[in-house]
Amino acid sequence: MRQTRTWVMLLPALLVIAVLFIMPLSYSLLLSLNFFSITTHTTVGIQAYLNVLTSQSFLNSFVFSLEIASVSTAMSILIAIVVSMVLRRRVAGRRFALFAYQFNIPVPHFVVAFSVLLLLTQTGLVSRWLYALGIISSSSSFPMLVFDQYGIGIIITYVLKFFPFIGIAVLSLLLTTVGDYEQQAATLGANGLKRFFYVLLPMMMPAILFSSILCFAYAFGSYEVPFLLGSTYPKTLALLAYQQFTNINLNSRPEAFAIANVITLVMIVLVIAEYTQLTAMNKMAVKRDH
Amino acid sequence: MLALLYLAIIATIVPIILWSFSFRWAYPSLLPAWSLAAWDYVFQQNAIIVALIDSIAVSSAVTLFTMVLGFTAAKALGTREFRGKVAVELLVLLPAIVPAISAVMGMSGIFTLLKCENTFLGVVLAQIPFGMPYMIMGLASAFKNYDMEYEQAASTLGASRWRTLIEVTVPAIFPALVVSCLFTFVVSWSQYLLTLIIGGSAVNTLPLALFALMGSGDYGIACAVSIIFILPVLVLLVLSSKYLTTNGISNGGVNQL
Repeated sequence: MRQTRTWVMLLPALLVIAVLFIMPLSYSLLLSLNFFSITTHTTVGIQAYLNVLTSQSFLNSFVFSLEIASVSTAMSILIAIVVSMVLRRRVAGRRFALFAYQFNIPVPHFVVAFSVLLLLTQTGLVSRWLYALGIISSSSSFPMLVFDQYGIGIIITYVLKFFPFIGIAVLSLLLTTVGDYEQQAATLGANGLKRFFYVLLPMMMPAILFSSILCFAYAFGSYEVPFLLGSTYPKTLALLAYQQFTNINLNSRPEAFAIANVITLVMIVLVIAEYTQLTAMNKMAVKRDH
Repeated sequence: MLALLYLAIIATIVPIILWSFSFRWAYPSLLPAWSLAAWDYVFQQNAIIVALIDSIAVSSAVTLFTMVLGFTAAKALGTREFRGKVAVELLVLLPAIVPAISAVMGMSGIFTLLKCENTFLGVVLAQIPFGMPYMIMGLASAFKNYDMEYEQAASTLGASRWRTLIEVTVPAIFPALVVSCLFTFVVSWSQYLLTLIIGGSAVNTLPLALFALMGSGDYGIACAVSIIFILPVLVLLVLSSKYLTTNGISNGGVNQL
């Protein structure tokens, strides 16, 4: 039986991604540089990018998106590691805990966001409990966790979704491959903390890195959650781009594409950085196994 | 410690359940005025049922197409080494990292040219690339543990390629196939921005209906629709839960071969 040529096997998927994804991205690039412009007095060039990169609202949005993505990813990694370390022992109620762990994964982000809205606004459920307990005297004493300047509600939403995602990847590693190495280290006399930092953590790193890049990218570029829970200023980059896209002023169109392309660029850099890091880790792992 | 985990999960879902059974729930009451008004509204309103059917149709189509289109690529990535493999892997990963907002505006322009803007087909096509990474990555990792010798054995015994596919390959990676389809379905199920911009007025999926309700301030109905929204994917999760064990994913259905 002659084997199918590799490129033939890759073709359908690559074609789909090329036509339905790369082409729109390229189109977006061209439109941001003012090709196909409707208004007659715009020239092809990087004007849109200059406008965007020097505008205060863009810079604020960039920092805001970055802050939300970094904080939520970092917290999720911590929580994921802690919870997975607990779950790998045979504690009571473990089976149900494992199911609960996976529960959040299929629940869409904006449903979780809605829940956070119901709980943590100043007139939300948590505020009412505090009021009933006499801890706060009115709704405005409750801290502003949603629609606020730091995106706290948004971060909480992402953490609720991200930590099971990263945690499952970590847990499956802990339950399968890592156990042997850890036992070896134990027989060699390493105590718990040393085993964690010198054996477990390095072995978990690739999986953590991979899943957390996905999370970071989502948090950085998502539209739905900040739309529901964010304040009017600053907006995240995705919201800013959409706002420019739907602006009545057609001159904002290229700027909308410019913002979107900046997001794309950041993501591409992220992917390349992650890949180089992962390959480096793989090489070290290969060396270590010898 | 586990208590915190449970708290996080409960926090996700309980407020929505409670609020769906309320008519009005003004501050600072701890309990609402219980009522089934929201649920009455949901089941009598055609719009919600239609949106549900639309969502199921779109997501099923997306999952099916993504699976068919991505299968061979995943197999190639998992079982073969070739020049440019890293580039292909990065390319396949790209739609999972680059957010919808970056692609959707360009998509809108191109789809208008292709005349599938505002159509069911357009929405399905728009969502396929975003499901591809999960489908391909999930299947490829199963194929890494797959031994091509099974196929060679089958061919020696006289099986046609088609038969080998159905009776050897698919059963061997079945758990990963189920999980990948689940992921792709969920990704498609939760799409809002894509459907909003590409489907616009013609295609109304549940997320679109839900966003409108969430903004309306009538939280009771929004919560009821939210529950209808997450029930199908939760059902799918439960149905496929036996394939989600770590053993299942890495060893595949090889034990049954």
